[in-house]
Amino acid sequence: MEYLLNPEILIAQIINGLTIGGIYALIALGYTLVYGILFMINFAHGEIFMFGSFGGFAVLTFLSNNGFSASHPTLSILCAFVVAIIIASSLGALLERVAYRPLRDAPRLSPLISAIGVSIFLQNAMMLFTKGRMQVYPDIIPENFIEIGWLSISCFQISIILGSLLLMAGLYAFIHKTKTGKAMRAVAENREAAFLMGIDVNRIITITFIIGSALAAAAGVMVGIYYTQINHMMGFIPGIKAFTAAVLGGIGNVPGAMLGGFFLGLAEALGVLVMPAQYKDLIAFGLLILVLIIRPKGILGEVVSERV
Amino acid sequence: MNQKKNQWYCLLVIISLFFIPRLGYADKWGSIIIPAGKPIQIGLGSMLSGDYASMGIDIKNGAEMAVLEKKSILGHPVILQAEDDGCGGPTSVAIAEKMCNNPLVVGVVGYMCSGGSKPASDIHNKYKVLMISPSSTAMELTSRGIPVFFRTCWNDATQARCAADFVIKNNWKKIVVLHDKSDYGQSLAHDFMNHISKNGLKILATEGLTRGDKDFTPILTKIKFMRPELIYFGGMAAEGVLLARQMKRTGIRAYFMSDDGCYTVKDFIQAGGRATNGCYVTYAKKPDAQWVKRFESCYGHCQTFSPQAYDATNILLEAVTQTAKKQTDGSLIIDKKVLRDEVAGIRYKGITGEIAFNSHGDRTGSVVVIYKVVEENGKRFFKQFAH
Repeated sequence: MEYLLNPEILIAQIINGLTIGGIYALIALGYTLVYGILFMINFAHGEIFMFGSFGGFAVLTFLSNNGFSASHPTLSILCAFVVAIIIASSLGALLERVAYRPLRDAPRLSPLISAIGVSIFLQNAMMLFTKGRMQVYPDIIPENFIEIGWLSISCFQISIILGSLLLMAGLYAFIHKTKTGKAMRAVAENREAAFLMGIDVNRIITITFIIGSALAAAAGVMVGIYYTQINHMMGFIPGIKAFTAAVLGGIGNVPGAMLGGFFLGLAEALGVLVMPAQYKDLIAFGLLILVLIIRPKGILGEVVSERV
Repeated sequence: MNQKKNQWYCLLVIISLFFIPRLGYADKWGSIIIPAGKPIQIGLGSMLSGDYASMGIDIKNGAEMAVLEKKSILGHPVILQAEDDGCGGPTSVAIAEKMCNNPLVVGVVGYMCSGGSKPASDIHNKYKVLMISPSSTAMELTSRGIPVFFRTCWNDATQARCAADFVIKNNWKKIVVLHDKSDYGQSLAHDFMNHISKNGLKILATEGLTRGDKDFTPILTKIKFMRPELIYFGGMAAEGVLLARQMKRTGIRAYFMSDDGCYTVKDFIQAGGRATNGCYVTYAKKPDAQWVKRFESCYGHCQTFSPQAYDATNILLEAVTQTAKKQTDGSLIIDKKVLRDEVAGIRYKGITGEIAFNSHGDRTGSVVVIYKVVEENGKRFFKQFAH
């Protein structure tokens, strides 16, 4: 407990928690956006995150092999993000068209099972492609540290926190300020009514999948650059954790997913201070159960429970 | 009342019936018959896909090289039957059943991880099929009286003692021990701590982490607060390299020391970048230089346990050559008990040194030494440390 009274260690842990929390939040948004509109859990979302990460890996490996990244590090990283987002978004749109749209009027269990099937398919496809080997992101930019007394903060951590906040702000503005965003909200509110008002519902659903996947891809590249190791199973645990975050915040609720992600990251980081590190996953899922008992609709509430 | 008693007797009889064939079974070693024209198979179980696959594939390469060099025994071709055991309990058991029920398999090189070798050795004992592990170092593998288990690597106590002696010699006093909660990592960490505390030094903390996790900054931040001089990690390279990197990230200026699981150029030195410079690992003395040259011309960089796998395979092949008897119809007959005794009593001059086994199946006189990751002339490699 002595750790909790030390401000330096607290600040360090809060930064650690916000870093992983930002990543959880970006993935959680994909779950929540899709749930808000279709009332289904896209369990293949973790794999979209994984494909995004591999997209970024391919670009950075290519650029670092031909020496381009040594002279233009920022540009190469930007390239990696763009390519990863394009790959993941196309994959997301494709999944929606192939695996979910035909089942839209089927019983609620069918798209869920379809999603689990897609998830296993994508994992195995990537396993065959990479022969199941762990891949390592190349070091493009040196990691600098800001040292304040005992504290040491990595510039990567700061960039991940700021980057995820920026993306979330962008998403929030998109949903609330643009016409497409308005249409998304209308479809989420009442799909039939939106359809009668002349909104192309299929197009809006595809756009929702594309946005969710793009955010996951951005998270994937961040994870790749920060943690360096990626493999075909990398989407599973973050996917489950992000789903937990989405439920924590109130699934279907966009600010809820952001809050849930950061909340979960912080809980994991600070939880290590009061109990052994072995129990890190226990904290995450224990919290989920606790929140579901006390507030079944999540911290910020909205549509949960009876669906799925 | 009486009826109830009868029921108990019935139950007792049924239970004892259950045991009778088993007792008889345990004594029977039997023999392996390789029909004419059929190949002799050497089994191999290691992780061929997944996080530690480069270590597993390295083991397979070592075994494959030995098999390719041997080509045939008494007119029967020798082939390697490699299976992916995923470095885990359930899969290793399934592979062990498969190997033991294959009549052409004379013995298995494996399994790779202690967590897989332990349950698999029970299966092998049931069928009396030899297994020689190139890489499972857990103590309990050789302390359970399994007659068919041998290993060409060292055990954890040897390795942990070597690491602990080095720590004591360097006079590092503030030590934190981490492990990955696996059979392998945990038993290493345990032996290391035992040895340290026997010498009157204190361990500041012990923590477990999860295999496959990527984020260790929360636990490292907590450790940083204790201001350790050394962090010892019992586990594999995938997590070890992240620890080394994230130690730099959290600003811990302690030494990092790990085990043979981290002795891999690809997954530790290359994957870790400069963050791994100055890290210590324990591993066997360098194998025969001539052999390394030959190996690297076929398979690329020699990683961790390929020399031990090469020796294990050769011992198996040597024992089969010595004990197989050719029948008039061209088939080979190998008595399992004789084969086992041949391996148990072998004096083999391998590329990792002289190999002989003690009565538990442990290798006698194998020496573990300390390596340090150094950067010289732009090349980064494991350098054997003064010993």
